[in-house]
Amino acid sequence: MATTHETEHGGGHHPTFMQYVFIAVLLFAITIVEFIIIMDMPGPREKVIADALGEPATTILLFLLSGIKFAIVILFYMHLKFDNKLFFWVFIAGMALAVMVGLALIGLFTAIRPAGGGDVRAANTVAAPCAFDHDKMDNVCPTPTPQPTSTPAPTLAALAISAPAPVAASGAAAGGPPSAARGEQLVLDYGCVACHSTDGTVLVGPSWQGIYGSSEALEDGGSATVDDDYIRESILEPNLKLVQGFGELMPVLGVTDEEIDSIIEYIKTLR
Amino acid sequence: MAHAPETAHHEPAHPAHGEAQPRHGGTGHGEHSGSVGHDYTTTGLNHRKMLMWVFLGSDCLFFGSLIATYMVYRGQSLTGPYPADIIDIPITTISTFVLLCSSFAMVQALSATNNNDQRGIKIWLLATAILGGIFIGFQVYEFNLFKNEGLTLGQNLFGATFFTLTGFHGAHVTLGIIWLVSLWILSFKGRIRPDTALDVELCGLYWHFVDIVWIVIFTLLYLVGGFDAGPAILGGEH
Ligand code: HEC
Repeated sequence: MATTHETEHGGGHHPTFMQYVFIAVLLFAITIVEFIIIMDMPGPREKVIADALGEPATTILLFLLSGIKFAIVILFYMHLKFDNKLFFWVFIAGMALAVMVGLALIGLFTAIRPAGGGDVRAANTVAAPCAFDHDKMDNVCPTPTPQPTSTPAPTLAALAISAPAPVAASGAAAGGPPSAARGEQLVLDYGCVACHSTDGTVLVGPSWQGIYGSSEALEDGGSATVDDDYIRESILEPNLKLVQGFGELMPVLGVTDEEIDSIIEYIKTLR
Repeated sequence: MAHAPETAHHEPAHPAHGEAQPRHGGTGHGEHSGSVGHDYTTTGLNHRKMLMWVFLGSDCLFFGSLIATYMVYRGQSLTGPYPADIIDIPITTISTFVLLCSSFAMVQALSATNNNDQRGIKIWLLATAILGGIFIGFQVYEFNLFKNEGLTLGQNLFGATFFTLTGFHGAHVTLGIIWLVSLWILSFKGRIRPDTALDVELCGLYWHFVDIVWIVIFTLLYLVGGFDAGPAILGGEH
């Protein structure tokens, strides 16, 4: 039998105090390296190293580093390196199962997501996303509009990347003189109505009711008269003049000039 | 019999250490039972220790599922706050350090126990518990901050998966602190000795496990996921 001291530890050699200190310093050092990779001081949220490496490489590197930390702790702090191998395998088996369950879950949920990266939960509603407003400490969200089942519901991705596409393909076909009716269809297709009501209700953005011809107080303290040019500018460069009480929340949706003409006609009718 | 030394695991060493430590009667040992006089096991390994490892193996599944759930819903929140809005990596790096320190203290507590260094036992057990407490303090601070920023369990997918995962981890840490403090109190009654070192060792295994779970959480939720912003439609403004 080995010396009594060693037997206490389940056999074999057991790190000395200095070795433990070394291990602790190593764990610290790895954590600091991870921190530097991701933060890259001094600029806040400036990830020079991470950006240089690219996201996949950074992620792999971070996984590798934390994997090393993980291994150091279980092998030395938890004595698995010195202990009976059965303990090791019992633990590794649990861990392997956990990893498989995790991968299966991730695979399953990724596989059933509609093609094009859309959001499963948004499939039945026009999901104009909420934006978090730091001043109000809350989200400013449009109320989801139920979508007629006949038209394929635009997903988040569709809104974000290819918003103009469904419009061009939809009933509000291009051509012809600007008309309020076409405008009405366009604001539905573009999803403007998720943020703008026509009945005075304030959603994410101001209501369009009665704005045409009125004078609008602006966030910067000035004011503007709502005319054709103002509406055009509001749509093309939403953040240039912010309506008082509203944040920079309106997206640029790629509305064409002649579509804007119709939208202006439509807004004119909203008395 | 390759296992022979382990068969002898903890108990046969008693007599040697007993010289330095007044032996307690059978009752004394009975309280730290489990191993006394029942050394024979089919594997030759201590039952309690095996039980601990099996538990830790299964706890991997518990955390594995919660982590997978987080990953599945990562970047799927339609409403804020999003991770990039509120995750504070510097602060969390500090609390990660604290937890790593506590693991070091835990190792020292076990060393002290094996060497029957009664003073060391008390100091290191308490140090481990206090460092754990500081970690929990950071977490309470963080949770509170998040709540004030508008992130709650029911706010969005990020909130739901984040709080469930880190909350259960925090609960594990809290349980570990209670365990450590109990051992610390027992140490004043002279109950923590080389022959009962397994009590400290098991607590240590649990404690280090909680530490490695945090290593994973820190990497996935903070380092990798901490910069996740909201849906692209908002142009990444927020
Ligand atoms: C994500 C929500 C959102 C969507 C979608 C959106 N807007 Fe807006 N809109 C806003 C907000 C917020 C404001 C107020 C701040 C500003 O002036 O940019 C605004 C302002 C406006 C204004 C100026 C209103 C005023 O009272 O002065 C017009 C006009 C307008 N939007 C038109 C549109 C049109 C047309 C669309 C669809 C092509 C659209 N918006 C889609 C959020 C939105």
